[in-house]
Amino acid sequence: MSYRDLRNFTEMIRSLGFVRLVSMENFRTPNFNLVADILIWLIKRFDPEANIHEEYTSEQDRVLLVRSAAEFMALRANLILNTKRLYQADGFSVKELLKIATLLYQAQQANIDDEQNLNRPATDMIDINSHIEELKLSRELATQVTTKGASIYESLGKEVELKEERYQSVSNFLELNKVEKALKETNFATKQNIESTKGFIENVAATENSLDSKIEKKKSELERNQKRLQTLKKVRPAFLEEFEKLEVDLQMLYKDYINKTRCLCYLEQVQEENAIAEQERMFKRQRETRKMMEELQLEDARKLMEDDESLDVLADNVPQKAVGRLRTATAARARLATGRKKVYGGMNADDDSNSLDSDSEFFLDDVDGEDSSILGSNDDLKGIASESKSDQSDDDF
Amino acid sequence: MQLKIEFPRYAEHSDIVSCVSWNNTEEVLSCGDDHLLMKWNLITGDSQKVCELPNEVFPLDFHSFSRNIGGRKQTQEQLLITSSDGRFHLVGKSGRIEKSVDAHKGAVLVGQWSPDGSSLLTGGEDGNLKIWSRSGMLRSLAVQGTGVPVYSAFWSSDSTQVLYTQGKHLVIKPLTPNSKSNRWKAHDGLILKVAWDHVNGRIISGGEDCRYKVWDMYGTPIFSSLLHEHSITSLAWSPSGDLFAVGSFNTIRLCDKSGWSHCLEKPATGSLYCIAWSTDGTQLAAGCANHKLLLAHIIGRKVEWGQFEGLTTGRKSVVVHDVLSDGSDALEFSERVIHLALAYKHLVVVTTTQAYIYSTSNFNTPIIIDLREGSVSNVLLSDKHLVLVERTSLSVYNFEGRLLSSPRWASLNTATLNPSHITLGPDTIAARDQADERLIQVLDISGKDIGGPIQHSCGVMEVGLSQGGKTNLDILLAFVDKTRDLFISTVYTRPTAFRRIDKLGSIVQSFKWNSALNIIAAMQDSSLILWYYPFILFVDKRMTKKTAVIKDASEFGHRPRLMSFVDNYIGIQRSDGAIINSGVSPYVGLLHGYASTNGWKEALRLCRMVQDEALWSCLAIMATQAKDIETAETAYAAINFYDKVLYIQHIKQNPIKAVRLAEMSLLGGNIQEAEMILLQNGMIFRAIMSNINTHNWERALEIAVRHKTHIDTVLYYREKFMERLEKPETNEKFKELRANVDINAEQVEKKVAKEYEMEKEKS
Repeated sequence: MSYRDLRNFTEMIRSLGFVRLVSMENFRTPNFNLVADILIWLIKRFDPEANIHEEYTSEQDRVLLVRSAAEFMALRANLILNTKRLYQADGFSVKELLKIATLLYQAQQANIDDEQNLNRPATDMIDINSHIEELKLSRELATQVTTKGASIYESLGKEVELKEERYQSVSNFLELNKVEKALKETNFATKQNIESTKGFIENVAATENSLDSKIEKKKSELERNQKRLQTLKKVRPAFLEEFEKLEVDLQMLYKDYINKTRCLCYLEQVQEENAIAEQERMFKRQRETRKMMEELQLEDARKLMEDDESLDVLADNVPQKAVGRLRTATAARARLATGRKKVYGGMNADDDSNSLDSDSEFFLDDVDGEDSSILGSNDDLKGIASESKSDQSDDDF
Repeated sequence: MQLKIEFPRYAEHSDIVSCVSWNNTEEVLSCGDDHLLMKWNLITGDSQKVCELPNEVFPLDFHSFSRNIGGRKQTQEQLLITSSDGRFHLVGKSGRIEKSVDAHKGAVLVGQWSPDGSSLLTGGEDGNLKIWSRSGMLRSLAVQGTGVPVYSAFWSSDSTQVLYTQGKHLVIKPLTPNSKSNRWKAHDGLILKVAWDHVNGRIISGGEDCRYKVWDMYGTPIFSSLLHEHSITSLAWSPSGDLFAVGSFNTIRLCDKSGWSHCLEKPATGSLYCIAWSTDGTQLAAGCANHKLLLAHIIGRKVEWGQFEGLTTGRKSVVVHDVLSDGSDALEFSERVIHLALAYKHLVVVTTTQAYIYSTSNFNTPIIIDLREGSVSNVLLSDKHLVLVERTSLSVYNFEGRLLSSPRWASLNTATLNPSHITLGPDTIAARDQADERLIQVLDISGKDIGGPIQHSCGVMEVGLSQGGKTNLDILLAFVDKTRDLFISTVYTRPTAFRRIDKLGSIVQSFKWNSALNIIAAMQDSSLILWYYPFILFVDKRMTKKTAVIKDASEFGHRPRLMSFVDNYIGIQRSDGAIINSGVSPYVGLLHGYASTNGWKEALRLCRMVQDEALWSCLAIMATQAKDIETAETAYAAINFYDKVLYIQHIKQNPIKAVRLAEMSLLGGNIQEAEMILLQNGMIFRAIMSNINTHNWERALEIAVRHKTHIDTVLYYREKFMERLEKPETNEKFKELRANVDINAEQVEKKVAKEYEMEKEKS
């Protein structure tokens, strides 16, 4: 008996899944019960149908058991067991049991390796999800069964027609060589086709891989660059502070500027308004001066008229009346003397037509000209005009 | 923490792999029933046949040992292989069998080199345990044949004891003759494997009752696992002693040192016959019954500090997670990550040849240090510095990556330096001496010795330096000795003074300094104690209890361990591995802050608001230390220390400033400082009197003689004192002077009164 045998035996029994734990010390003293248990179990593992004596209460039974087991192994597995040693049921029996266990263990090991290579992922994932998928699959299959059934029924219906054709073609004589050649050709063509497709598939996988790796690389690059960008963002460039300070200054200056422009605009507006008001006032004054001038002229005219009253009163009377009606309030004094009204009306009409003109001096000159033509007394009028001129110059400033 | 398992595919044994061992951190040696000794290189991914053993040699156990000869680089490696034919073989590095020795009847089940490499043990099926010399000569028969096979055995860390299995029992046997061995029943089934950790002294055992158990070095049970499906076939401690691996049929388990399981993997391997850890503790190899070699490395190591969390997610990657902003950074390295440390706003990642220092504010640009040797076993961080413990040296770096020094002392052997025996504080390193366990070496950052090593009366088990304080004088060293008493010692001293050491507490299982303040937390018996101001021990021992806060620790279960003490939070790990955070009053931190900036008014306001006796006591002592009379008076009044208040009032009456300062130092327990102040200010009489009042007779006489005044006064008071005690004078000096000087009591009294008057006039 050796430690190594015991160790290996316990390991094998363990991995074969023996129901109880076997200790290293179990075989130090003879222990037939355990040896018998293991022996029966091992043989049942070997062949569940095996016919061996399963009792070991009496001496006779034990001998029978050992013998039947040895016979069975010799016949089935070509293993020769030392029955004497087995019956000893101590460390030496382990050596015999180890022979059977090794056989089974190696078989299992080979099996496991195959399984691992074949369907590792399938065994790894046993959970409800896979069953759900199975359910889906079975449903699909059920529908397929019905469709297939329908198609079979249809083709069976066609059978009657096809029968004749089939017989015909069967009865036709076929040249064997030709057929073989054609078959070979098609075979070759399909093979080539398959190979090229395989090549394509492989290429696809390769390109996919390379693309994947490229994507990965780009991603990591992107990430790195983003990080760098962030750090760069965090860093403040030189002169930024100065720049910000200047920006604030500029803002202030701009505000100042806006303020000043607004003031300027306002002032300009005020100035304009003032100028307009000034102009109006000037016009007003001009008008007044003109009025005064007219009055003066009227005065002069009245004086003249008083001289020629007897000559002109009748001739000018009618038009003078119409005008006089319009201007009742303004010429209260004129109503007193009928002769005065006539002259006034004539002058007024002239004045209206000229008031559109803004140039006062020009207008005055015109008046002069007209008046002179109408009135024919240049000397007096000139004197008045010069007077109004001097008035105007005063108003201008 | 997890195991990531892989099976190298490039080669295979053709039979059971029964033994594995690490050649260095990247190379594994394996041996199996196919008689091949194979070498697997993990980096290049190839394997190599070292030698083929003779056909009759079936290896059962395997232990390699490398020893330094003379120079640094030269190492001699020797493999010890035991085989089933009752012999053991010594194999050289090249694979040549140098010696084969007939050792036992039956198989030799275990063989191991002693930690110092001077001898080796073998245990066999015949129940003998033998000790052999290095060359294979029989030294002693440690255990004589009981007939029960010795399935496993282990050396103790100091090579003076041997632990072995005997059926269901474990035995610790000292090798000195006539000494009694410690034997206890450990399992209900046969014990197959045992391992003894050399760092914490813990023992793990596993056997056919399908359990593994953890014991301490005296055989007290710490942990017993659940029932497994199959017997436990292999066990191994990691080199740092904080993890161990357990192997069983189709099972590998990674466990914490207190026994609970980090992770469980079920690879289809059959039984694992042997587990071996690499020296850096990040990888392990195991030999499987299905002819394969299992390699695993540990991922998911986690470090935490404040809001940051570091996690190794793969062999070469670390993810740092910021809890507050929920952002995370993935760090990739070109080499394997060996060590990870996160503290004081810095993350240090050590790979096989480099160390990366990251600041927590920026994880993009690390500072990279090239390691000198490339095998870091420990990393210590403090506020400004980091210490790398490499195989043969210590190196101190700052966080800019500059090497500051490589401290050394005579007995330093960094390869076996226990992490709990070294500590790093601000500008200071302290470590327990490896040759004499009662000594603590204290060095500053530049590697210079500070005032010699600290000598303690018995073995020191754990050391810790405080992290807070404004000046070097505030740095305190705490240590726990073999009897689990916690002591506090000052590190730097004023030029004339001595180091002071005093006991703070007893039955302390573990302790931790706060990360920024001089507050110490300790697990004492079954409660958690916080000493808010440990320095008080040197000021007024009576008040120590007043500044301590005791919390009931029953919620932390059995054997809790202090893991961290950062800011206001204490992290406590329960024996089942759960980490519990416990809060600490934030006011203490505030008070320390005010005291360090002399904000006494604010401190007073805070104490009035909180109305906590412990805080008041802290404030009283802090103010006394800082010689702030008013604050101290208020604080003492608040905790009903009338005597102190009265004394302070007495001090206040004294008009001379120097005297006041001296009296305050006396109140603070600094007799030497008080004397120094008085002497410097020319108040010799006062200095003598203060020494007389503190019964420091010899010093009083010394001052008097040196300044040639008041010798008679000293003698007079001494006489009075001896009379009161009714004892004769025994001191030679006093006797001698007594003969020469005659004393007139009246005159002395007059002289003393005159001195006091003169003092008053001066002021």
